Amino acid sequence: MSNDSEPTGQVDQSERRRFLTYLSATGVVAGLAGCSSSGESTETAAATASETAVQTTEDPLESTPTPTETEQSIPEGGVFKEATTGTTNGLNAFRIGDGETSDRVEQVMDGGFARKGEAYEDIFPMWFEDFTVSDDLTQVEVTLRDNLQFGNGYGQVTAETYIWNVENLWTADWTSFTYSYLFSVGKDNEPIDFEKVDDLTIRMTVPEPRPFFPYEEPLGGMFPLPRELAQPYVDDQNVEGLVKDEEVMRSTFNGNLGPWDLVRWSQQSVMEFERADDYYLRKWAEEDDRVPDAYAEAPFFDEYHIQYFQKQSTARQALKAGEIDRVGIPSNKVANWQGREDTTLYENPFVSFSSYLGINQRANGWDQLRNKKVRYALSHVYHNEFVATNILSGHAGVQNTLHPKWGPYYPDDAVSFDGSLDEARRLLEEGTSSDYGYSGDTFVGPDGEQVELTLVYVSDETDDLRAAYLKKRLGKVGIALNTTTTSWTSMLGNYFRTNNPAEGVSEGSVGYGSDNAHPSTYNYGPWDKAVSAKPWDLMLTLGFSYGPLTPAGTVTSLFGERENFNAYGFTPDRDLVGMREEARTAESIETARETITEMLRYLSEERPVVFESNPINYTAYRDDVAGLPNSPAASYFVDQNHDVMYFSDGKPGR
Amino acid sequence: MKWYILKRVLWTFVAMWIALTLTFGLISASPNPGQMRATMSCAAVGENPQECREQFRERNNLDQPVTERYKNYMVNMVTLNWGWSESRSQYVIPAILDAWRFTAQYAIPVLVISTLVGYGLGLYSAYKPYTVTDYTASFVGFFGISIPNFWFALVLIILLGTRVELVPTYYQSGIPIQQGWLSLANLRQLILPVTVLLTASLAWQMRYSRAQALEQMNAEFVKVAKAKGASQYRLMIWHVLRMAAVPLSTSFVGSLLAIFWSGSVIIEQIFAIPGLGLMTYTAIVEQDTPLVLATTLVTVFLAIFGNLLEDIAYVILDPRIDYGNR
Repeated sequence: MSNDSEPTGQVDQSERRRFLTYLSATGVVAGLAGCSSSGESTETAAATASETAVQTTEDPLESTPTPTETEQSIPEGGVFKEATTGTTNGLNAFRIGDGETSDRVEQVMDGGFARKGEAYEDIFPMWFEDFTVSDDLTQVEVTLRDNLQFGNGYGQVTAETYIWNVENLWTADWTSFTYSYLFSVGKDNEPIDFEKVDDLTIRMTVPEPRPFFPYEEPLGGMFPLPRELAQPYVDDQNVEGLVKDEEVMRSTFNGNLGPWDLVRWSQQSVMEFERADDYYLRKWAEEDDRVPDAYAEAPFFDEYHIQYFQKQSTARQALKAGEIDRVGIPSNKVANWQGREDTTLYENPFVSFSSYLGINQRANGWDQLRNKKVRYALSHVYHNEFVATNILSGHAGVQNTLHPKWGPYYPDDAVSFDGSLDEARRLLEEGTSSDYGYSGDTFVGPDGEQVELTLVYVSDETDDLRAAYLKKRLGKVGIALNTTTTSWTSMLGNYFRTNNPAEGVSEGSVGYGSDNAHPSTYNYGPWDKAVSAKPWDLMLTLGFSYGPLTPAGTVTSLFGERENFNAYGFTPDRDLVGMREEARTAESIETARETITEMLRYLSEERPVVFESNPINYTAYRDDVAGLPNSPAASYFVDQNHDVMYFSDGKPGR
Repeated sequence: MKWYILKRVLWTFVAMWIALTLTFGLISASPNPGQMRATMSCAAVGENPQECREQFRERNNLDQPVTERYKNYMVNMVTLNWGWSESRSQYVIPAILDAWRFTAQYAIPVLVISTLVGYGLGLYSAYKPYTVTDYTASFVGFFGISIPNFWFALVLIILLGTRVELVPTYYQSGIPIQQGWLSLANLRQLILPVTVLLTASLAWQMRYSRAQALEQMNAEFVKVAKAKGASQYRLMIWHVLRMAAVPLSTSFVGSLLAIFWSGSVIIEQIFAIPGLGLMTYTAIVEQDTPLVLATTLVTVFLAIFGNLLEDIAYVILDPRIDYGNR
């Protein structure tokens, strides 16, 4: 690669955490918010595969100015302000479970690398100078750069740091680390072997060849804590103390590990970052050809603020008034922002996020939802093509499985529904037990009363419309819908987490099998034993961000019976874990393709949730913000990276 | 009267104690999610859930007799150890200390302005009822009462913030920290929130004081004062207002709390002000129990303390009220 980097620097920095699966919201985030932003936001979340029709061979960094031009022409200074409606509990590097928190942490710590393409070693190297995959696909070796320093006197980040974190934090039972499952592979959860090769090199070894392991190795997306900081909590096994530690919660130990330093966090208001003086990557912009030259000076803004807005509409008014520089635009408002002279609208059609209508098949949901015909009926009622066309104004791609149509594995014969209400009524009658049926136009239950379902979601402009549409359509098939709006945090905590015993189940017997296993707090046990704190039937807002290169992992994680994110209580009648393993241990990615496509086809048939769409994201910028990539995004690897953006006159126009 | 005030102060403490005790009762009677989580986590790693429950109870002093726990609870409350807020990732007391300034900076001016201007306009309207001035003031009053805060705020943002760019469209919490609470930049960004809140509270104060003043206008003592040649100013301020202020003062604390609950929660959401209103709203929505409890208790304490001040104000405003024998 040449000594290239245009100041737009379309390196997919959100790819740092690569293929970790995130709980994400469709429209709660107005601005850039990493993987969680999904629906109405801007940032790509992971890499796509080269086989897709839309894949481009264009190198996003190709049209880079020469170093001299770059240094001379990029004005520095100003405060770049971005609006968000997503809340977060801080920059807790140890408690990343959602994209919001991940996005905040990534401002102050880079992580291992960003993926630039499908080839294993096609990466943008950040903390990891080298990323080498063994020919037999059993080992990945990473070498850390030699100038990575924690702050607050915690010393250098070394191989020892990573190994200590693996052993004492990331895989320790007492920490309940969200991504602990990434540290083992295979059906039997065989642990990955981590070995210190030298001071800066770590070797990860899996028991058998796995073509997807280079995409799924865990270290590239992790943020290690300094040993000296975490050791007292490890000694006491005090996870509560660890996550409440000020340094951990605000990631103030970040040293030179990221482009920004957190200077002020006013809860429910703003996070203010200032340009890091000693960003480690600047040195490598000069010495490593793979690091764009722009990074010799990046970031170009003096400060970067993430401003919280409770109302999306206020955020957009602030952008119009020139008080905010970047804000996400909901699909139904795009027309208002096209052709404006004072703002630039950026379009990103490659968003690896699936929106869907969640269905609670656990014991505290309507018991008939476990019947596939009822879920089919719901798929007619909540018609994804109508939602994409009319509610999202065509700014979304319809999906009938957990994969975008532009992705490499979308099945050609995915099951679709035409939105027929007559068909929905028929399926409801057929699919429910005999004590359900129609009384006139009303669908009644065993007690003779109309069936009432509860929808929970986070209110925003598009999800309010989605909810209204669902209510109206359910009403037409004789079912009443109660809607409950809540916050993102509450949705995760009270509705998506299932670590509560179902009625009549004792606390100690909630897990799976004889060993009472709990895959995670989101899937704490079998559907008839573990339930959410509050009952619900249907759920909007929450969807999933994932890497299209590795859908087998996401499918299994979300819908495998004993897998981490199966909060829905879906019980597949096929061995998804086995299929995932078949794909993962195939000779090559090509040979795994058929299995992965089959998994996605199976989901399409089963409809564990009502698949809806993957969004096209729009972001509006003030017109004095320069360094944006070309719109629409040319490929999945193009990113809107504010680290290499700048104000055309060096200062914001306010 | 001193005895009365002393008794009222003592009663204030009793009322606070009752509020705290009721809260303790509710907490004790509620399921403990922490205990449930701890038990399940232990079970997850193959340990005995019963033992884990006991360990959790021991760690959190839940195994102690209820009297001991009650004592500890009261000590915690008095020493301001009110727990951890999940929604803000900070302890409750620092959370309140962070937030209250952002609310007070506009709520206090609104209260003062609406009281002074509202009472002034009310008195004037009462003095010259059914005139153009009275009708105009009444129109303004009804407009302020009728118009929804959230709608009015959005209209002002669009008109004055976006179109004219006269004032900021949202509140930047960094400005008072960096430039000072009384800096021009901070005052400028408070114009819209204060205006919106003022319309409602001013209108309410004006209509209420007008009604009270009208009642007093025909009282015997006013006629006597008039007959003795009291000036218009003296008549209205020293005689009418003083008497009208007795019932008005009873609504003062109510007004303050009304501004908070009906105004701040909405205003702070729209203008992105990180004050008590937004904090309380978020705490409720996110079911952040310690923070909800704290904001509720603060409100209760405010109401109790406010009532004490009101009772004392009666005596000062109207010497005929004698609590000497009570």
